[in-house]
Amino acid sequence: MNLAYRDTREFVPVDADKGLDRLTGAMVSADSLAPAGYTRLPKCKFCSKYLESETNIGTCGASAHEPKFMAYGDMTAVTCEMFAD
Amino acid sequence: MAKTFKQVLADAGISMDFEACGQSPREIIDREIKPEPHPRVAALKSIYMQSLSTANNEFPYWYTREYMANDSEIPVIRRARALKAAFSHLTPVIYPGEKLVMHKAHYFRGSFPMPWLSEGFYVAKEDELFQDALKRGSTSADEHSKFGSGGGNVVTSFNKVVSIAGKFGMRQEEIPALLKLARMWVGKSVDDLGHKYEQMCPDYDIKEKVMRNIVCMFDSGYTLPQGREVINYYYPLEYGFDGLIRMAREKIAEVAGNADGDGMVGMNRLYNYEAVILALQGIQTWILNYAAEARRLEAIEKDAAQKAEYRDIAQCLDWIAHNPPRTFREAFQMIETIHLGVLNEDAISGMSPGRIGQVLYPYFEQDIAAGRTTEDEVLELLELDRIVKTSIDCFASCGVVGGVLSGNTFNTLSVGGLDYYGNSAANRLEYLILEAGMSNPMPQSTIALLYDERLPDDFLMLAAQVIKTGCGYPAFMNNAGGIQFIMNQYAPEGMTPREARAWAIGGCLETSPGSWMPLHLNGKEYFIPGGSGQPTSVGIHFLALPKILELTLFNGQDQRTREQVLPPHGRKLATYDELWSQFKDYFQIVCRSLEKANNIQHDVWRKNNMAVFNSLLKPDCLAKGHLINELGYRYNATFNVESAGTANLINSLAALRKVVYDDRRATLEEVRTAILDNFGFKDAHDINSFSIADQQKRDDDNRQWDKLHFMLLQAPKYGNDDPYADSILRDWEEFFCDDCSNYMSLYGYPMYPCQISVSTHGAMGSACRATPDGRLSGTTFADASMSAYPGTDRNGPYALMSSATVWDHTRSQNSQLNIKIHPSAIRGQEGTKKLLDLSRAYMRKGGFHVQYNVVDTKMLRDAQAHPDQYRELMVRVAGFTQYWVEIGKSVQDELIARTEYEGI
Repeated sequence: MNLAYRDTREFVPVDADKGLDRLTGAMVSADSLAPAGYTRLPKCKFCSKYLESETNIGTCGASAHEPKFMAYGDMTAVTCEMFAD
Repeated sequence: MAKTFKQVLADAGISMDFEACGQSPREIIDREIKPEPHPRVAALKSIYMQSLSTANNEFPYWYTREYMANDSEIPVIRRARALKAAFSHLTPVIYPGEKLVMHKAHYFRGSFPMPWLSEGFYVAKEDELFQDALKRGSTSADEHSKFGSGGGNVVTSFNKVVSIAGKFGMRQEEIPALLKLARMWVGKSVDDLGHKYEQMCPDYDIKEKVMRNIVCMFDSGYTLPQGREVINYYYPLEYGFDGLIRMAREKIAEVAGNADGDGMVGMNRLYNYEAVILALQGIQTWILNYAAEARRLEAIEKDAAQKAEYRDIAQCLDWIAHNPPRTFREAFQMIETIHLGVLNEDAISGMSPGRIGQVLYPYFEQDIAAGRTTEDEVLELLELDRIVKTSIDCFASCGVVGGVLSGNTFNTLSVGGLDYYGNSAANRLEYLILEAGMSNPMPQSTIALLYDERLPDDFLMLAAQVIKTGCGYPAFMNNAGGIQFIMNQYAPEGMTPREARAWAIGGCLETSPGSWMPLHLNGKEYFIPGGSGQPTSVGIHFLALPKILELTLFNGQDQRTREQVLPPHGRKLATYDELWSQFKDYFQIVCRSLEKANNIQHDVWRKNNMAVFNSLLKPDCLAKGHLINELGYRYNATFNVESAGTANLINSLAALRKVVYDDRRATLEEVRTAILDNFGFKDAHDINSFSIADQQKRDDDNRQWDKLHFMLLQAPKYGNDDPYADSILRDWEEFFCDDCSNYMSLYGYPMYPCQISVSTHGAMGSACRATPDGRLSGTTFADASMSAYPGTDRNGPYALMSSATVWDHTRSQNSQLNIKIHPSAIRGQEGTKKLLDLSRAYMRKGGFHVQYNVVDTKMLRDAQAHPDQYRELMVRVAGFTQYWVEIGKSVQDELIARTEYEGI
C-alpha cells in the first residue's frame, strides 16, 4: 500500500501542506501518495504502544503517568526512544 | 463617489501632496541596486518564498508531558526537565543545500504554541478550531489561492490545514492534541495565574479598561516575556557545552547546602546549577539528533557533493555538541544553534544576535589567514544566515504577532561601534555582513549600524549603498548617544565607560547593555561583545498617546466604546496649561495601573517559567549561581515605558494651543463636537482604508466642519523646524523622560522611556477617534516617534531632523525616525553620498536613529493592488523591515501615505 508523502522518510516537510520529495527534489503535496517503496516514517499512529481513543488522539502506553499520558497519532516519533513498531 | 480627504483639501486650495522637495516621475521607478545571492542561497530562498508559517505540537507535547510528571519538584528543576524533554524530542529536518542547519520546529518556518504561557486563546476558540478541523478535508483552489497575497501567512484554513490566529497553519490531525494540551494548562499558565493575582491590585479595574479600550496594547508577561535584548554566545564558544556542564557540576560541589550568607536565595544555587545541566543536556541531544539525521542522509545520498556536505554537517554538529568550535563554520553553526535554542525556550521576539561580526571575527581572521576558508565561502554562509533568521517565526496571539510585530521577530544584528580599546570596531567580516544584506536582501537580520565618527568612510558608504537597495537596513544608530544612555541607566549596577561600548541593539532598536568577554582561540585573546542585560520592552507598553489625549478631552470617557476608562477629572480645560496638566495626570494614572499588573505577570513568569538556557549564557549567572529570576544577570534595570503616536499627540496639542487657546478661533467644545462627527468623514473602517489621504466624506456631510478642520490641519506641525510645535515636543519629552523613572519594575529598578511604535500605530490608530490635529477616525497614527505624520512635513528632511532633535535623545532608550525617499532622489554615487551626508547630519545633531524607505509610492500602491507580483518587495515599517505582502493593511496604507521626498 502506498503511503501519503507525509508519512514517509523521503518527505522533507516544508510546511503543513507540502514538502520536498528528497529523491526527486520535487515539491509535492503532503497528502498525495508517495511512490511505492518509500519508507514509513515512525509516528505514534504506527507505534504498538499507541492506543487511539478518538480520531487523531489517544494515549501513550509507554508513559509512566497514571492514567497514561495523552498522545496523538500524527506525531513524528523518530526521536522517541519508546517507539515500537 | 464621495470626495476623498485629498480632494476636499484640493477644493479648498490647500496643499497636502504627500510629496516634498519636488515631484516624482510619472512612471514607477525601481530601486537602483539589485544584486543576486549565491545559487545555493537562491535555491533555499525559493523554498522559503513558497513556505507557509506552520505550527505543530511536538515541543509543547513533550514539555507538558514531562512537566506534569514532576509536579512535586522544585520549580526550576521541573522547568529544566520539561525543557530537556522537549529539546530532546524535536524531529530534525535538513533541507537539501543547507550548510547552516537546525530549525525551531520541523518545518521551514516552524513554530509552536506555549500553553504554559497562555492557553486562553485555544480554549476560547476550542469549538471553532475543532469544527474547522473536522470539516476540512476537501481541496479548495479558491481558498488556497488567497495565500499568494499573504506571503507565508495562513490567513484562512484550507485543505487539511487549519489557520490559527490568522497567521499559522496547523495540520487538522494536530488540533485535538492542541486543545487537550491547552486544557491541561488552564489555571496554571502565566496568563491565568497572573490574572488571578493582578486582580488584587486596587487599580486593576482601570488597567482592564485601559487594555480593553486599547489605550495600551498588550501584556508582555505571558505573551513575549523575553526578548528585545542581545543574546550572549560567549560561554559555549569559550568552554563548549561539555565544559559548561563540568563547570556547573563543580559549582554544585561548592554551593550544595551552603547559603553563603544569603538567607533568601543562597540555597537556590544548587537547584539552579542542576537546572543548567539539564537544559544543556537537552540542547546537546537536540544537536546530536541533527547529527544523526545528517549521517542518515549521508548514507542514502547518491550525489557525491551533497553526500560530502551531509558528512561535513554531521562532523560539525558532533563536535559542537560537546566542544568549543575550532573554525568559522563551527562557530557560526554553534551561534545559530544557540540562537534557535533560546528562541525555543520561551516565546520571544527581538532576541538579537548583537555584534556577530565581532563575535565571529577571531574564527574568520584565523581561518582566512590559514587558508581554511575564503571570503566568498563566508559571504555564502552570511547569505544563508539571512534565510535562517527570516524563517524564524514566533507563535503568539494574533494581536501580538500581527498587531505589534507584523510577523517579524526582530533578530537585529549590529555592526560598527567601538571596540574594547575604543577604536572603530568595523572589521572585514562586517563589510561582508553588509554585502550579504545586499546580495540576499531578506527582512532578517535587520541590520543596525552603530554610527561613530571613527568608523571608516568606505564602510559608511557601503552601508548607504545597501540602504539604496530598498531593503530598509542598515539603520543608523548613534553610538555616542547609545553609550551615554547605557551609562545613565546602568551606572548604578556597575556599568563603566569601557563596558558601555559593548552595547548593541536588541529587538527593533532597543539600546541594550553588553559586556566584553575574553575569547581564546589558538593562544590568542580577543575581547568580544555580547548581551548582559535582561529583556527590554517588558514593562508598560505600548501607550497610545493620542488616545490618552482623547480621554483628557472627554473627561476620561472613550469615545469609541463610550466606556468611562479613567476617573472623570471634571476640569474645564480652560487654558492650555490646564489641558497639558490633565493630560500628564491621566498619563500617570494609566502607567501606574499597568506597572503593577505587569509586575505581577512577570513575577509569575519568573517563578514558574524562568529562562534557564538564556540565563546561563548571560554574565554573570554561571558565576553567581542565580538565573534571571534572582538577578543573576549583570544588568537588570531594563524594564521600560513604551509610547506610540508621538507625532499625532504633538500635532494635536499644537493645534489646540494655536486654534483654541492662542488665537481663539474655535472653542474646545466645537473641536470636541467636530471630533465626534469625524469632521464629516466616514470612519476608516467603513471604507477599509487607513490612510488619511484616502478617507471619504460622508454623503450626508454638510461641510459644517470644513473650516475648523482646515484650521486644525494648517496649525503648526511637528517636522518643519517650527519652534511652535517643536517646543511642545520638547515639553513632552522632558516630562516623559523624567516621569518614567517613577515606575519601578519587579526587580526593583526604575523604568525609562522607549519610543518605538513597531506596528502598534496601525492597531492603536484603528481604535482611536479623530484627533485635534485633523487626523481622522480609525486612521493609522504616525509611525515611530520622530517620524512626521504623513503629508505634514513640507520643509525637507533637514528641517524634519532639526525638529526631531530639540530634545536630548540620550535620556531615552531610543527614538525613531523613518523617512521615505524616492529612488530617483539618490541615484548614483553622488546620491549615495547625499544619503550618507543626511544620515551623518542627523547623528551629529544628536538624533538616535534614522532609516529610510527607498521606494516609489506608486510601486507600493501597485503592490497593494497586485500583491502576487511583489512577493519579494520589502519595506521599512518602524524599526524593522518586512515583506510588503505580510504586513496588515492599516500599516500598508500608512506606508503609502508617508511623505515621499523627491530630493534631498
